[in-house]
Amino acid sequence: MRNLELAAAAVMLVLAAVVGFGTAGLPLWSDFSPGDRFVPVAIAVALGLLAISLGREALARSDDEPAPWPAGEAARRIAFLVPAVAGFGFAAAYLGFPIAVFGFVAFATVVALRQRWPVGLATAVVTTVLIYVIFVVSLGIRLPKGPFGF
Amino acid sequence: MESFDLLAQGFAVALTPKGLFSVFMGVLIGQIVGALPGLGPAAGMALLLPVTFGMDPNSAVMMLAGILYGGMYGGTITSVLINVPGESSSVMSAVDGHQLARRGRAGAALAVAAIGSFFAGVVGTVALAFAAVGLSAIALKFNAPEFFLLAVLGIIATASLGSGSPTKALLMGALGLAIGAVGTDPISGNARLTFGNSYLVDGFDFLPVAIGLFGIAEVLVSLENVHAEKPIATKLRDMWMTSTEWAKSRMAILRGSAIGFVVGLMPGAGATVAAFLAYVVERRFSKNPEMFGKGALDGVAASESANNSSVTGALAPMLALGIPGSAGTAVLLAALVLQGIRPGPTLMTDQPVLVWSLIASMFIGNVVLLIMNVPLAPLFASLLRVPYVLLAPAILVFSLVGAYAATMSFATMVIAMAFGVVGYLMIKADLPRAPLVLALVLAPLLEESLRQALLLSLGSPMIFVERPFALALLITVVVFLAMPFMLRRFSNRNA
Repeated sequence: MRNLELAAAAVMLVLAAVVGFGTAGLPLWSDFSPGDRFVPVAIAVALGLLAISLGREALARSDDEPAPWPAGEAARRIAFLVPAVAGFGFAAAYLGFPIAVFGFVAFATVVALRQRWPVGLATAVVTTVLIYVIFVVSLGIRLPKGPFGF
Repeated sequence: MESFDLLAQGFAVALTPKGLFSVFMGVLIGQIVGALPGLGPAAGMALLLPVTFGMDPNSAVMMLAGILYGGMYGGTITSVLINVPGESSSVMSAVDGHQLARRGRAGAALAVAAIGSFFAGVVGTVALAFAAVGLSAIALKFNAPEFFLLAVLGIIATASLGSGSPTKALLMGALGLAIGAVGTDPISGNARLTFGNSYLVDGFDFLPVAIGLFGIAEVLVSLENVHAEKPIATKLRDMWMTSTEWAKSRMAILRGSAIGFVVGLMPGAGATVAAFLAYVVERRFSKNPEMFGKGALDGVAASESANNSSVTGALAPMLALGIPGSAGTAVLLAALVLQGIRPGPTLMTDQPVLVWSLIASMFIGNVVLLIMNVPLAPLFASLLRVPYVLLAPAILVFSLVGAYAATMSFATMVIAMAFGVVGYLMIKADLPRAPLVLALVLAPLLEESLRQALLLSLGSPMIFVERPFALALLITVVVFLAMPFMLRRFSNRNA
């Protein structure tokens, strides 16, 4: 857990630098009131100080419990699901939402969550129909279609 | 008297077919979301935000608020029947409620939770009406300096009053402000922190951030350990309490309701703190404190009453001051902003029908929930038999489609995905997400108020001490900032 917290502190320090230096060129003060850069610089200072404080607390802790990363089957599920979520985005853009929804749910239930394929396919069909009914039919939202016309 | 007239107008809106449908759908979805271990009311509200775009503001707010307090009812069912808290505020119900269920008293546990929640919800709604009017009257005297300090207080209070590390909570608050700074400067209109990327010119919208942090992240975490436990069977005829059990529980319900509302008023405290505090207090008053942890019905009554009344308490500062005190009220505030309405002191005078129809809908919603949770609890319990592994992919895809539908842009969906991964990592690192979301919502108010205040004072920071309300708020901010560190030093010294 200590390493995870140190990593989080490091990321926050980098973000603080990005916010602080990323606004260079904008005015800090303008006549009688703060300029565009005032609040970002204040935020960057707060981020930096708090990140250092988090790092110090992590190093000062005497007992270190292990980080709650998933292991075994749980890790396998996450390893499949996170790329699948990203893959959904690509599929939706190029193949259309109905195919992307069906494909994602089928993959997630059968491959990632190891359910029987008839159950997975049925879940995918039901989910695709529900999404279509809720968003397209009820809300009138035109979800992008794929090369097959749906 | 004027408030009664306005309340009557509120009921007139809430009791229309559209109003009743919105309330019913909200509490039903809230009940289901609360019962699902992987999803909280804030996530449910965030996922349904895109759906509310086509609704009128009254219906949208009534439905979203229904999810918020309905979720508190729903969390009890899984806590009692499966020993898995559907909500973090139902942890104490899981501790004692499940022990009662093992002894064949699941029905009594569910019944006392439902009745306590109903009582707390109704009493809390009455208190909300008075509190919102009172706070709003005070807040009409506020100007830019007070609003800046209120926004700061809202963010700092989540660190001070929430559970967990205050450093982490403040850090996440600062991160939320940093995310809120991306886009266009609110006063000059200059691009800021966009790095030449046109997608960032509009900044990070609240919706995909909330969907990612609460929807996607929570589902991913919940899928790591999927529980295959069967819920303990409950029949309608079991849904009763003996006269002894009722005598034991009624004061617990009263105390829990009062504690929950007061705790809910404080930004950042939340339903979990309210439920835990009520449980601890009830143990002191109980004639059988040794039963706490082993199946104390009054423990369940107190914690469930508190978590419900805390939700109504949290609505008071949101409606009257525009300061959300929890992730759920932050989503509700974002929904109002998306509808073109800015909560704040003038909300009750500018949009009285909206506010009072919301309050009226909460009375109706609690009645509906009582019906759902007493005679219909066995029916909801049977829904738990649907394997969560089949629901979770559907929830994930619904959240992604919802994110796209909000702006008809793949960029929004990508942001939701990215924050889903960020939220997952935050949960692993024990970094609280609520302060980030609160800060993101409050960032525009905080910056605009600060710059306006300093413009009014020609650059002098003395404006924050010369005005009495501002000084009082400043002192409160300092106290809340110092409190967790002082308490930690005090406890270290005693240890």
